[in-house]
Amino acid sequence: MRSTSRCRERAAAAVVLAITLACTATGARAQFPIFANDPIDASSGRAFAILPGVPLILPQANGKFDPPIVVGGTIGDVDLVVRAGSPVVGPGMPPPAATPPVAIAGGTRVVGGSEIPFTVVVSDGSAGTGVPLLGPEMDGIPVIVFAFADLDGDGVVGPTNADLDGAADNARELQESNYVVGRTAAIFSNGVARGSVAVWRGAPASSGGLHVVLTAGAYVGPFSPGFMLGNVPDGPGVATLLPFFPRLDPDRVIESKGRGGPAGPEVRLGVELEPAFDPPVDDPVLGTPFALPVDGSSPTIDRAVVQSGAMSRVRFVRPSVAPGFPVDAPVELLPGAGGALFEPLGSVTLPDDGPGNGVHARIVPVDLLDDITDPPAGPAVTLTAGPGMRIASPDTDGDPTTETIAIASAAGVDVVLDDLGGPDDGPSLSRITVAVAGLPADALDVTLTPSGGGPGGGSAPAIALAALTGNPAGVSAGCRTTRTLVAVVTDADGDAASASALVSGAGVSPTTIALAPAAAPTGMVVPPGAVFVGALGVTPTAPGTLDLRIDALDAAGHAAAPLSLAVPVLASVAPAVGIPTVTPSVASSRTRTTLTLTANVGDDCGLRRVAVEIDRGRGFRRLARLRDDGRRGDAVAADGVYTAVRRVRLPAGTFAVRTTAKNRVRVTATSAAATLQVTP
Amino acid sequence: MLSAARGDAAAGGRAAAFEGSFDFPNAVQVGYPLNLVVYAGTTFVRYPATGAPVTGTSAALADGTLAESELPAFMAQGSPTDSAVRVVTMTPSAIRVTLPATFAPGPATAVLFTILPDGSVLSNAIDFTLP
Repeated sequence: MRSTSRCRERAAAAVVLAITLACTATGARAQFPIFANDPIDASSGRAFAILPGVPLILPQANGKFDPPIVVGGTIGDVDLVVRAGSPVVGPGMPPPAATPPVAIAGGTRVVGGSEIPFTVVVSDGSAGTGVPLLGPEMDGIPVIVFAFADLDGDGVVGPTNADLDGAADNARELQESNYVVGRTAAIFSNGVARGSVAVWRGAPASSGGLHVVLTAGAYVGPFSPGFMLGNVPDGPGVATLLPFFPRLDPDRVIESKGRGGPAGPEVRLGVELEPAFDPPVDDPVLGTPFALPVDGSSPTIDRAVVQSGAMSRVRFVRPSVAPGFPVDAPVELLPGAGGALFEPLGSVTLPDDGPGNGVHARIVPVDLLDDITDPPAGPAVTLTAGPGMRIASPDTDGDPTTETIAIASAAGVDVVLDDLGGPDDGPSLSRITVAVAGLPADALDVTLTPSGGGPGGGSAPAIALAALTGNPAGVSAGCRTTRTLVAVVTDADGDAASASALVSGAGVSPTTIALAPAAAPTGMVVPPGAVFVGALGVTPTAPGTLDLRIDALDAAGHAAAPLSLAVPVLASVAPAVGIPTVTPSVASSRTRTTLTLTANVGDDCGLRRVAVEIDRGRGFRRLARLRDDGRRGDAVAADGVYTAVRRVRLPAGTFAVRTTAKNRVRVTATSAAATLQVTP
Repeated sequence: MLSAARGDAAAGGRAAAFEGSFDFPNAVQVGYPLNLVVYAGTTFVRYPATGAPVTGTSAALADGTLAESELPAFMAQGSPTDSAVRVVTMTPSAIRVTLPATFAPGPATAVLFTILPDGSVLSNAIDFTLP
């Protein structure tokens, strides 16, 4: 990891930040050409660790990156390049694989999967990805290849605001960057290290599999008996781009101070790769440097596709909800059919209130590693309800305590579970068991709470509002719609506890969305009450109606009367186009005025063009094209607020301005007009 | 280590599910020689992470524990199980197995171990009840 900037430029940055960068050659640099021209930390005499294309990042004096110190004039160049596959390495750096290789999750040791072959190449750091350094200097040095997965299918590993969910799912996206899904060691020989890595996370082949990126990192230096028992190179870290800036202190990375022996492809690997700080998103200085695209466009890394393995069992899951997602805890995220994202479901709570007010759970087929997978033809599973419970839906045999269900696809089956009998006549704890071929495959613990008139009394909550953000005209069939569902729950006891929504219709498999307590979306006027928010992400396949049934419970288990929403699903829906805001709203004809033009625009099928038009007396003509990429005046990427900054000079008068938009299926829409006053 | 265990039963047999932390990445990548043993009395079933399960009885379990010194002899005991007895799930934090029909309702114990060239490593033993 080193800088492409010249020494005097680095020195200038160093003066500003009171950091000393030495530009003199060292023994290590002479021994390892990978460090040639690197900025050197004068305090250690070693090259700084800098990720490619990223500024030099340093800790505070206490060693913590809180906050990180950014040396903006010193940008890392390329030291390592990883490629999927086994390309020939000659005078030029091989490009990323033209087609990402496809593997089956889990490798070959514990399951009958497959591994992803890779090639790591040492670079001289010259222009682009540099030229391979094919000398023997790095012979015997291990390099670790780490795989990370794009679990939410937004095309990026790690937090980003540039996806459809914007910043709302960044906490969940930390699961992609904070936890590897495969890792192994390879050994350099003449500047190249080859091997293969097993990835344990996958997605159904019918959904296109799971996209993963391969990255690599190594310590470069001599093996010294006095350092990590001679098992780890004693030198700085180098790496491809990673989804975060890593902790590099060998004591934090290498287990047991190297007592486990030297790293290699066939031995147990004792390394822990962790971020030194959360990857920044739209940082004013750094931007979003660590979000890794999975399309092969990031020059130092490569990608692959991992399909789930053969079905091993079925399990209970629930849809993953981005709002309220825990930041620091590992959460198993399971990509499923159609790109839906699920989390394990181990327990549910429902009121012991007699028929009605059941809870939804989904049963999906999974492989041995718990990746949701495509089932073989027609496996049947048997649900068995424990004491006090019944299987409300499906119910094909008239027996509420057991049900045999065919699992036809990776989408699985939605089941509704309810209490058996009347109010307050069941046990407080029960269980639903699902069996495959007669053997238990998973179990769902159920807590039955007193009904509305039960112990403790109190009143049931009420759903005061249920609303969906986005285009009120409806959603487009065939396009994935991503909306925010908002429910406001009132409760005289002030103990509204949970809310959920069952989504079905228009070709959408019944899906339950858990809503989490959160603030209402900006600009939405809501009545008093507890606000619950959830992300709706579905692809209606046919025109009709998308039905949403919203349920809510309070802490005592009282259930609110369900509220229904019917969202029209149309063959095509015009974009939702807001009236433009022009700032300032009054300009002078005597000078050029910088206008900021903003408009709220949304479309399920994606937008091709958004513009503000002005009528100067001869009909509306385009004034400016608006953007939503966080650049050139647009404050936040992908938030639905489109912006342009335009410097104009207009004659005195009053001018009508309006917003126009065209979506990807070429349907256009135009807003009502606002006015711009121009004074003489 | 094993942090939680529970048994499940259905018409066709029993299963056990365990939570904990074990060397999952190395088991997947290099076939780290991990073994899970579930036993009730002297009846046991051993699930190698990279091989077929074996089941049988072992006098080593008569005292309710499996000691490191007993592992070499224990590894030689048991015979292959029915194909329905297998590891059903293995993730970084969970293992789920189906059990042989010889396991009846009642108390059971589970332990993880590995045998390495420079010594063996045993996890904590965890007790649970089979329904």
